[in-house]
Amino acid sequence: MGKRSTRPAEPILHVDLDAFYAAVEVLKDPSLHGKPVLVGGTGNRGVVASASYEARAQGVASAMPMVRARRLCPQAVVLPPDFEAYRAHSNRFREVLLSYTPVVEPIALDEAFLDVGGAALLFGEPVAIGARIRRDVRAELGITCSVGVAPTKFVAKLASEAAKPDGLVHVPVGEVPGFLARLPVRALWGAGERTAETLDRLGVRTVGELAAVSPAILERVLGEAAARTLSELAHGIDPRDVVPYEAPKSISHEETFEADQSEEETILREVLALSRRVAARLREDGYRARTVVLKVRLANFSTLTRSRTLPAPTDLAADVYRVAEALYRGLPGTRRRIRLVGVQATGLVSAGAEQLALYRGERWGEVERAVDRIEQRFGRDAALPAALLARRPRHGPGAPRA
Amino acid sequence: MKFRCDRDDLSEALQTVQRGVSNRPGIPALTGVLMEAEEGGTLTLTTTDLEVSARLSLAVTPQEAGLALVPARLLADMVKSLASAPVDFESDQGQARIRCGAYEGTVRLLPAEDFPALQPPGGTRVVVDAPRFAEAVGQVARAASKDEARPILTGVLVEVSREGITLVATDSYRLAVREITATAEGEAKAIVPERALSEAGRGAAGEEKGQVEMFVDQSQVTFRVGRLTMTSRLIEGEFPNYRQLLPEGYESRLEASRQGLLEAVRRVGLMARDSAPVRMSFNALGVRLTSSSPDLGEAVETVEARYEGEDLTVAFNPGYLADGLQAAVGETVHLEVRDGLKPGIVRGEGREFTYLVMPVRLPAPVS
Repeated sequence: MGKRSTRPAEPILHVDLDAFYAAVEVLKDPSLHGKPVLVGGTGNRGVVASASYEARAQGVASAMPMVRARRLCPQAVVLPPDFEAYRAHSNRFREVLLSYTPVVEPIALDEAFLDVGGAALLFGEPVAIGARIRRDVRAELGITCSVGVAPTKFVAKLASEAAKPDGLVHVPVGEVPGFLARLPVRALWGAGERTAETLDRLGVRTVGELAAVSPAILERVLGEAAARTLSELAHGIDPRDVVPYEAPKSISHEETFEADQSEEETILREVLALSRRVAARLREDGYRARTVVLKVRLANFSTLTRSRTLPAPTDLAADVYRVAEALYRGLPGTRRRIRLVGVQATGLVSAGAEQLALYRGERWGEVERAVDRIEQRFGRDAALPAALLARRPRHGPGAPRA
Repeated sequence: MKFRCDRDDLSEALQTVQRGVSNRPGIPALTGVLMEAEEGGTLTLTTTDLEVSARLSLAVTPQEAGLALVPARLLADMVKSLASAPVDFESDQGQARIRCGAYEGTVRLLPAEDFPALQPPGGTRVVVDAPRFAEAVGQVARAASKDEARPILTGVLVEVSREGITLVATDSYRLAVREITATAEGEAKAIVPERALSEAGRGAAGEEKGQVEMFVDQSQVTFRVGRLTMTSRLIEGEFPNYRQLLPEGYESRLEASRQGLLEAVRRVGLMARDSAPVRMSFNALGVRLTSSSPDLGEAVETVEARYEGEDLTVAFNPGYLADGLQAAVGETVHLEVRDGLKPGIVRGEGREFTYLVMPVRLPAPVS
């Protein structure tokens, strides 16, 4: 069989989960089903991060001050965000997308671009793939999503917006000008408040009207670069490719001592502090590490690194520290004078699936995650292992005086 | 020292005493095998790395009693490569001469006075059937941890009571427990390095009708099986309380052909990489195994089997599960499951072996 070009005319998909945070809250507590749900800052100055469609029906929108949202929708259930749950669902969402193509560019926890141009032979036309993704997402996550299918990224994004909620909109190449023409200028990326006002003064309010303006005039009012970008977008031209997300290769933190250190207790305390920061980053970014690397720079600037691979990937400071400490103790010689220590986690795997442990690891994980939440609320180092208390300068009542 | 012996006997003996012992350099004398010939015709070979030591006796044709400390690796490689003919060994103060057929080699000796004296066995004495011991070690040792950062878990717990012995190993993701009837003089508890126990098990596997004699005290354990004596330092510390980890048993049980299920787990598991699991969906017809990796592909296989219980999906690391299925001897295997968060229980045909394997938690609960 000869090679043939099978790249479809509209290979770009934009997939967007519907009212994502609110939808996850409904999954967590099914009694919320059918009720208006608002997720966001619950205080007086909070804003709405996500609103269920029941709440939107009453005029609530994302980014609206919570106070106003409550006024519009007094019966709404208002919840603080639970990013751990959102991230878990987001990982599952990404798994679904990756089962169709490796060319997935995530933009947020709840949306991503896909280029399915190469997947047509396996899974069919882009529209069929979009439909399958919608079905899979619903089955795997229990959440609905909307899909835009178009020749370019930006049209695909506008199409998924038009499809909301729980729909699919396909914009064939030939219909791009017509699809765009009706939209307000503000729908274009890069067209902010100021640009929209400037164009409004020219009587240009829709994308269709913008496309009709001569390039010379646009350049005069917007400047060369902005004029070109907007004009291209208005004609449906968007040269940007879907760039698959590349996982970071490692996460590391290091610390230089104010004065060279030789006291083991002090050095290991710093290693513990660094292990905590590395592990917190792993959890925040949704990774687990297979390998821990300890880096030590001696007073004479020579650098030693030692690494060890764990039997199962981890995102816990207790595990990272245990290995880093063993590596430190395994260094040759004694009475080293140390200038800098660093802890690195490599061999990162997505935290999607987690091997559970029979004991300890599980409960310890809960402790560290609880500390994450405390730090989110009260700031870094709001809760510490006792060993690190000595490292922290003591202030406040009851602190011993120097 | 001077003797003549069979090449195969000597070669096998040298291999055996070298296995349980690590080849760490550090102290030169520890790289040697101590050879002691008695008037009566018994040659005793001893090796040690200070953690584990192995001693084995074999019959030789004696000519002159004496002893020599010979570089172990070199001698073993040399004897292994010799032709099948009688080996003549002769040593003086500084070197050993080995002759076999047309070959003649001399090896410089290590200072025998640097070789440490071994502690004689002591403590609680236990006697157990050798083939059963070998089988039990094979079932349990694989669950021990390879992670040196958690030394206790790199060992196997040996619990001795009047009724018998219990071997337990866990790397915290799975746990293997095997009970064996044995004759014991008392009670004892020891964490034995997996390496030493596996070597003792290997020695026992060769003794079809024999027995293993075990001595456990505070700091060391000794195994005597056939002509081999293996002594190991114990790992200090508190082994996890495994009894409280063992569930009573669940209501959802699969009964399947052990070989069939094992092969399916391995086949489907080929697509599971890193922490990617094999998903097992249990229903009245048996179990359906699936796995997928975005960049590799996917696999599915259904194993027909008897299943009692509600429809359930649990994900496991295929390697851990396969280890348990392989360890459970017999035609039929039982797998009990509860939910995606509780350990699966693997049992063979009897009750003497139990293997727990923790599931892999999938990213988000499917509602």
